Amino acid sequence: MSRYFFAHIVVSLKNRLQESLLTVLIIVLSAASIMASLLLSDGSQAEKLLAESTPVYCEFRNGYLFSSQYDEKKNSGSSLQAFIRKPEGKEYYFHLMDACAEIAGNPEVKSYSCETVITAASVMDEWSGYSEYQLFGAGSDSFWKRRGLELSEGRFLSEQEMTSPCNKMIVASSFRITDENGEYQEVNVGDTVRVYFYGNIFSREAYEDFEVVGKYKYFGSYDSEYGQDMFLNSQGCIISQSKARETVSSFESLSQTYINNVTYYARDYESFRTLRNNIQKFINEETGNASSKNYPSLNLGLKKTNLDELMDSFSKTGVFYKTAFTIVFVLLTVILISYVIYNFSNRFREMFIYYSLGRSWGGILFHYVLSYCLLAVIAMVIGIPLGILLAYLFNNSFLFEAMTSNNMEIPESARFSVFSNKTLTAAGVTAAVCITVVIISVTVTVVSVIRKQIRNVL
Amino acid sequence: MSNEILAIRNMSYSYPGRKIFENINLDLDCGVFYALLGESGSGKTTFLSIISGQDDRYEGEICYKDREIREIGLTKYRRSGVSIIYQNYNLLGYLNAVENVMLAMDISDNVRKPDAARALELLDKMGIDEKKARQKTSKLSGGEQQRVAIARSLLTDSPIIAADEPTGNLDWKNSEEIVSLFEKLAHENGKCVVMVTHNEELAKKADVILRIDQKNAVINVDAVQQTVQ
Repeated sequence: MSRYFFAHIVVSLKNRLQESLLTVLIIVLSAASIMASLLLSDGSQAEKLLAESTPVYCEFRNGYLFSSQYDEKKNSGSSLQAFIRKPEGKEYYFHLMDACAEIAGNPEVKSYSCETVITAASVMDEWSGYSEYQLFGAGSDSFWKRRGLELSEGRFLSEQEMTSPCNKMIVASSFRITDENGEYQEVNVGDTVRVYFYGNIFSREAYEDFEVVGKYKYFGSYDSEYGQDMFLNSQGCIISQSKARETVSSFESLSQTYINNVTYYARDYESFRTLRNNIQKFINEETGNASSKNYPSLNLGLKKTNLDELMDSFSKTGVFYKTAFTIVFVLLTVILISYVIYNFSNRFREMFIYYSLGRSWGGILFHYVLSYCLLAVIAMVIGIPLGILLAYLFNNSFLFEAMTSNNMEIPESARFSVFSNKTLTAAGVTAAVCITVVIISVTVTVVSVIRKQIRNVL
Repeated sequence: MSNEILAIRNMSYSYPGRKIFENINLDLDCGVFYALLGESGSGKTTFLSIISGQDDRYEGEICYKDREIREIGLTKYRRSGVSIIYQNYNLLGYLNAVENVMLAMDISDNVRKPDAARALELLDKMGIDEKKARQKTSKLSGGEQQRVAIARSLLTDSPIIAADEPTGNLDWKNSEEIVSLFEKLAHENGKCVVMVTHNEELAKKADVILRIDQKNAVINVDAVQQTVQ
């Protein structure tokens, strides 16, 4: 084939611009739909989202927060945060240390840490309104250090005070309480503060008196894992952890209990999942016990919003979009074939001119196949990136829906990385499918047109 | 020395239920302008299709330079031995005149590579200036299109030019000009020109008139107009 042969193909396509552009458009959409279909099925698979090389951050909130993070790149590191929030109109409690013991007993756990935080409301009396405070239960010396606290006045709780349920308290320097006239009053070391718990503000039956033994402030350097707690900085009250636990056990007026920063490291995703299931099971058992102690039954709902169900929902949505794109691809293929048939049914005269000039029927067929393959290549240069974009947008769309309904978050990088592994393969498959469809449709059409017309002419 | 380019030996051709040609023996020479006359349906176009390598369903032999054209291969024969001119010009309407000519040059075995300058030069000689040569052929007049078709034939450098009613769509003035061009191609360029026509007046300008006898399915060499040099 001469250079002019290829130049003639380009000139022919250029001169039949409308037909060429329409053909390119159909193949662009066709390539995009098959590409999107292939990538969507991949991106919607749970294991792809949580693949070894994919850092995934998941957060589950169903009245309670149960969030997890998994990052293979960081040496199989995983961390889990759980906090249990009071269901509307009900109270319950959760023994933090027991949870820790359960976590610590798991062979997959490499390390953990935890603190108790109790949120309570305190009022001076029922007419002065109330301010919200947070009671932090300090279990060890590290509590102060990790949070970057230093004394501004008085003293810290001693080791003995922290392990025994004493009514001592350290407050933030900026800590204020309101008096019966609604005026803010400073609290000094040696004062006794009565803390009413949120649930029983008006009955005032649930309260405890605490002696303020010290005042603290941030000295600026703190462990990044804990950050600078807004409440601790302004309205925080630190009591001993054993007192916090006793308070939790004694008062039904408890408003919230947190299990905070339970950190563990799993070796792989399966271990991570196993551990999560164990913790979930333990939480259910604990809340079951709470129920037997006349606490309202607690349904953490973790099973309902667990990872498997989310991923299952992803897969189903993925299959839906995949099917939709496949249908679009099939329709476009039918349109493409019809358009090719339409184009060539009126072009026998043109074929015959080539024939009379000395080109063989095979050469004529090759000419048309090559022309359409060139259009297909141009179309795929646009169609394949468009397919990737479509898959990304659709995947994001249903991921976003799932996130909204299940409070799950997947980082941007993870959302994109689910495509990267299969993009080349998908592009190859798309190119092969498009070229095959083009070659077959052009060949069958041209051959049938030639066969039908040839005897009429000669 | 013989100028024979195409030798037809015992050629017979039939349609189902009808004999078109029977045992035709004819020699076609270079430098001679032949006119093929016959009634409608007598087989003029069929004869042209056979000698131009478009239809191989004949019996007997058609030898191009002493080789049977089926043996040479019809495609190769069309690429190197013959070029065809049609009544409806058969130009690709979406290409311009130069592109049409260059396409034929590219396909032909007789031309090393398409040469736009040569195409433009010849088209100019044929009365198609460069401006018109750059226009799509669908925008040219019938006479101009036929000139482009003749230029296309000439530039493929084929020794045989087969023209099927080339003046059928043209007025008398244009028809005469085209026929004059054929005379020149035969006498000055040494081509073997075979022109199918139903016009007796135009046929008289040919060197040899071949008349199809439909009744006996033969071709009579009806008249020799002048001595072939």
